Amino acid sequence: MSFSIPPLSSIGNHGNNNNSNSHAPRTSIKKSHKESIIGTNDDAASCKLSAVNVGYYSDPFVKYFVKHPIRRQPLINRGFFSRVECIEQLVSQFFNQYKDVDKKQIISLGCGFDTYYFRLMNNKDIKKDFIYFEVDYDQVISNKIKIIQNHKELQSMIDKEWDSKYDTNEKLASMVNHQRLSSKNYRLGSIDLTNLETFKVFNELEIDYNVPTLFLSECVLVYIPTKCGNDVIQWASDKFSESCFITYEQIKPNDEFGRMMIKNIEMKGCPLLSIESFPEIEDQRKRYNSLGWNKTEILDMRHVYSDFINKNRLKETEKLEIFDEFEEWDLIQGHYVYVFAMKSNAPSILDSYYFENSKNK
Amino acid sequence: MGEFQDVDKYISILKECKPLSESEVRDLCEKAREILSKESNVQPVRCPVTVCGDIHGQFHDLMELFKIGGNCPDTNYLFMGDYVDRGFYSVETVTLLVALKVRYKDRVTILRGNHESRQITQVYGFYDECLRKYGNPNVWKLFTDLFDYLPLTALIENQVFCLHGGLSPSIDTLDHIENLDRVQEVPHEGAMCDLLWSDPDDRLGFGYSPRGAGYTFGKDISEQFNHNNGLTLVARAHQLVMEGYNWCHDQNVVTIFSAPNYCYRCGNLAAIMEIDEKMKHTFLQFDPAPRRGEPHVTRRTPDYFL
Repeated sequence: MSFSIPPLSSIGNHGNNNNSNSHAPRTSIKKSHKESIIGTNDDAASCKLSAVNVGYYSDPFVKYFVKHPIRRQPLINRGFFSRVECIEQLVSQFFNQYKDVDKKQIISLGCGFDTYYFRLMNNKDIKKDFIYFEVDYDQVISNKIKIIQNHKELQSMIDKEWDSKYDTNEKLASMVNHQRLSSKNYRLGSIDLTNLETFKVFNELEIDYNVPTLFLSECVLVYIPTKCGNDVIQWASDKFSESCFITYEQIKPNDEFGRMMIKNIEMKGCPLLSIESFPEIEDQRKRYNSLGWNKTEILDMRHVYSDFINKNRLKETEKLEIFDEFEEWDLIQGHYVYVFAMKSNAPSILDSYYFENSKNK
Repeated sequence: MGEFQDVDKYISILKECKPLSESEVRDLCEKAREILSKESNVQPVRCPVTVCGDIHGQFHDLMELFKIGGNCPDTNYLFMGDYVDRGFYSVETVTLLVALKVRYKDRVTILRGNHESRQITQVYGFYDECLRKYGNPNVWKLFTDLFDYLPLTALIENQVFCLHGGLSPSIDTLDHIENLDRVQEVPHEGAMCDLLWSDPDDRLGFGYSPRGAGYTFGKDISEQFNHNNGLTLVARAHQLVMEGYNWCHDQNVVTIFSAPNYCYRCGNLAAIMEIDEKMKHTFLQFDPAPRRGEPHVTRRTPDYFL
């Protein structure tokens, strides 16, 4: 299957082009860079476990993905809590919009060791009328499958609805092949987000292009070249008509905090390749709107925390730890956004999502 | 000279960013307690003096501060607390400042910050650092016991009032502060807590602080307090300000923050405030110290949400 890539010359070309003549646009990433990006999975899982262990939210599964648990500073715990909580609230709006449709899909791009699928399956209040796709580098996917194979607590969330004529390992074995896992509700496959050719994995995982589908990309697109990220966003809007695209990533590279953030993350080996192309919220909005999305709402994490996240949840969690990092909290949260891009044939659906206007909810 | 032989030795070790032994720390803390316990809750300070804000274990930046502001005892210093937590060198930083206090007790003033507390240091790093560097919590215990003796505030030439946090609804005059029994862990509420935790705010009056301790106080409160006590200025620390210092409340209050690129992440400038013989103030801003002296730190980068 081949993909036509539309010309994207108008998008994401400002910023970072002082030397535009001497540098061809980047369309791939280095191997060492790729390994560092993979390393961010471990870091994110470790931070999530820290937040879970302090009691910010419940996730009985993340511990299986962390080798050496360490307690992170309160700012990191609270930040991961707000990140996880925001996704849950947006996904629950999506489920709600299509509650009468008996099949929905979630596609997690660059899923890493995220455990959202397991938490959804473990939640009795959520109808299991969805299929959860996770794609990432082959190395991540095979590690994730290995971890799943080693923990029956994880397996039990996958084969719950399978008939019981096999024992668990046999059942799992029947689902796994070539870095792929394909069960009824949960499907894992490898992808290189900088190469649209590899998106054929979705066909192999038997994706349905005609059902409501929500994309998740947390700290993923910002690590790949602007053009590659644009291709992903455009591909998603081309293929699905009832859809949402949720992105969590860094912005504001040009102030003091932003410059230090870029330097520090670069020192970790995984430079933020597209942050300069979308330095501000409005640049992000333009990006999604011009790549086929009907409506794009964006909040930085300061506002997600103060206006969007359920106030009762804040009351519960703010009691958990001494917190003495307010100025730094505002700085770091002001440098992350959630993008919530929507696409639907029904204007009423677009109108009934709430995110930016959530203050009065 | 014999009197200061040990302390001079400590200082020369510490200036190389090497921690003292546990028994040396014990000796130093005993000497410091002698001195600090005689100091007042509102410790009088003479000009000229250089006023500094949070340091937070950023030892190499403290060395940079001395480069910019002048060495002890050539320059008199007043530090407004928060020596420990967050940075990688809380042990070396606080030990050096305490050693300088012991060596030059009339030229160095060290106040208590909200991080000079048993509870906060267990969350924000000093406790863990002591465990890592000494293998047991004894040094942490020695220092946190000493912190109880640190003065809460200082008063420069009866004009400039210095403290870590800010004003308190339970305090109208400096006499109120003199009457506090300060030798204890920082309480969760009350006057002593407020002095170490409060922040100035755009809203008038006293307000709820999101920090869960202390209050926010408005311009009206600062004006009233300065007027009642014959003060020209409240100098305080406690909050990160990107330029290193920040005026507010119509120049009734200034915030001074002396940890550049706070937590190796914030990208801020640091500042100190020089007050000369004529009580004229000048701010000196500075960048982080070059990091070539700490090769193992360059590989350690602060956390983000990845």
